[in-house]
Amino acid sequence: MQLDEIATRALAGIGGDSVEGATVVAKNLTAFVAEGNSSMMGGWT
Amino acid sequence: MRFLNVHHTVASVGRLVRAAGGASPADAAQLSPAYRMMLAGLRPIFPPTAGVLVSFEDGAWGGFLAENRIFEDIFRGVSGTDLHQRAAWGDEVHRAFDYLRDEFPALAYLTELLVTDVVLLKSDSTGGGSASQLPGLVVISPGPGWTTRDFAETLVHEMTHLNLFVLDMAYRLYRKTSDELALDEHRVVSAVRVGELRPFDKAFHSAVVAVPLMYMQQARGETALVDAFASSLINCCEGLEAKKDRFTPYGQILLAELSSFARNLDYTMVESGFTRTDLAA
Repeated sequence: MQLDEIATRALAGIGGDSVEGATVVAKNLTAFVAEGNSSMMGGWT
Repeated sequence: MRFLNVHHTVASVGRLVRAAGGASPADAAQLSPAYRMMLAGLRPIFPPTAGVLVSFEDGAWGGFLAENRIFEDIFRGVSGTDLHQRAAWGDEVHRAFDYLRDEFPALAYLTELLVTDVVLLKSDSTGGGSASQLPGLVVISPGPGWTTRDFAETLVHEMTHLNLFVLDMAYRLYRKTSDELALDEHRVVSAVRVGELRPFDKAFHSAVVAVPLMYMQQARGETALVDAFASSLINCCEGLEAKKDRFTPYGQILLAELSSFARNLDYTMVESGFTRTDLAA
């Protein structure tokens, strides 16, 4: 299966998400943004 | 492995686009533009509409990062780059993407989706950086004599950090904040800085990043990373497992997948994991 085909299938799949599930993701995103920055840097850190 | 799975990352990005108020992308062609629209609302500087935008220490990103003291370690001793250096490094970034498309198409797919901006600079440090609140952005201070493969590995390295941030945004990985996870009681022995205790989330990130880099090296017959870090990777996983209550249930799934790789070094699991379509959130 081509990668674009996998991606399109994945996007079709989220169309079946419940309203509750979508709400949880929205809350998670809000909480993540509110937490502030965490940087990852270095040669291999 | 969900943290290197195209289906899982695409679904997660799609969910985030929708959560941020955007229209749910209907197919692969709509995904990247929709994600970039979302990033425009999260970052101080808009991403390019397509492709990766390369800039340098005196560009908009360089100024913003220096002014806000983000990536201070990478900026330490920063000096100006001349036109010749800029052209050479810019070419290397584009050759690195070509190399990834040819040799590691799934990693290229994820990198092209998640990396929108690359800042290149010359400083006393060597390596790359990415940040949770600046999705899409990668900063690189190339080392002397870096080859296309070094640029490619650095892009994949930072893409993996950015991917973990995306998964954290969508599903949450930890029960505590990054600041809390830096406290002594949450620290875990590093997979890379052998013997050093690192903040819980950073130890996890660095261990996850090991997976694609080891995979890329073994694919071309090299064992340097495995020889150097195979044992410490297991030690790090054991430390994370001992404190796994710091993870959410979703984070514990990612840890189990990481630990399984660390203990078996089964590269077929990585390879097949890129394109599996059965890995739910």
